[in-house]
Amino acid sequence: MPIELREEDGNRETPTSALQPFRVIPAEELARLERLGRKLRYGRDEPVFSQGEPADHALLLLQGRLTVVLEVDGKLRNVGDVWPGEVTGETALFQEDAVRSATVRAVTPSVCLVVNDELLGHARHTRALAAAQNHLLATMARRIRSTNVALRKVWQEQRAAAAQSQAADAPTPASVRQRLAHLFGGLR
Amino acid sequence: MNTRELVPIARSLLDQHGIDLDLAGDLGNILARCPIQDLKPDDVLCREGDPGDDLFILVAGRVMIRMRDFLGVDRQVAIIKAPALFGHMSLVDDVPRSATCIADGDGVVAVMGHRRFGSLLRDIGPDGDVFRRLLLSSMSQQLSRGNQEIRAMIHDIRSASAAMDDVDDVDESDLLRARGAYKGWRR
Repeated sequence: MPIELREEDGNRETPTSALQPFRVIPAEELARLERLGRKLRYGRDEPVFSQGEPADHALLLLQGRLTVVLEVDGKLRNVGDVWPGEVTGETALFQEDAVRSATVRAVTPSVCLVVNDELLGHARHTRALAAAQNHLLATMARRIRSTNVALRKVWQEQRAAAAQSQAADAPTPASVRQRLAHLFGGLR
Repeated sequence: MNTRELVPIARSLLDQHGIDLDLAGDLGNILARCPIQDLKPDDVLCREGDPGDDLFILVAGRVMIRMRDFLGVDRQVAIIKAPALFGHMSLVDDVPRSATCIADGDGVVAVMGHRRFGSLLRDIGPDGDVFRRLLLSSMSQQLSRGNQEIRAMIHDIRSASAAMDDVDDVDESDLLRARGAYKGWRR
């Protein structure tokens, strides 16, 4: 469960140790992880990732708030926010030639820890890294679960719409393909 | 099977997942501590919908993967070949089995129980590190392959220059393929 940070709190310093996945980790281990990793800072509305660009790292949001935007048929659609303690861009890890599937930008001034192969290698055998890895596992599992739920919803909605369209003069319902394109539009 | 026999399996698994092959000894140690089970044709390792308490590493042979589509029709979605890691999603996400896994001929599987799984997630030593990397890489590949399946479905609509009506819609088996890829079942 990510920390619920109010928008007006977005600029406040949030110690990494206060973030959910790291609460059980000794401060010195966390400090080591932050020393080994690179921090990136973003100003309000600054782009973090751009859809379609090469991807080689994930970001752990330490403070601030990010928003995720999909480009669908030339239009931008907000698909969710990233809160402190959450990871974004994790599909870039362990993949060659990965590209960003969505655009991410900072809603408020934000600080992120870069999670890449270098950090995973340098921080080996620390509790902080184990916590970060387990957090990534939970993030990926949630992503897989939510995508499966979305696929089922797309299918159910299309079935319901098709049943309703049997009535005379009813418009042709959007196909499953069209619904997928709307939902995952920018997927590359 | 001892560690020496299992290190080549570990090396191959690491290679599949783009992980440093120097860690094969650590992964071999993990495999050597798992109970080894011989498989006979049609042995059922797990059933879709059942609670999942074990993770499997297929050491030899092949396993057939079957899932029900949204209409409840049971379909084969993949045949996985050794070496392969599977069954981890139930443990990582605490969810029921997404598929039924049936031995496709004779085989050998290493079985890791949930207690050992949990202790490896907490282990900050070499064993825990290589195990978490393997899981992360596997799940990253799942996300990537699932996205590829959806991309292919969307691409059909984008590449069609004719009206939408001219494009056959996605059916249950297409969606099942994408769901299977997200769950780790490769064709």
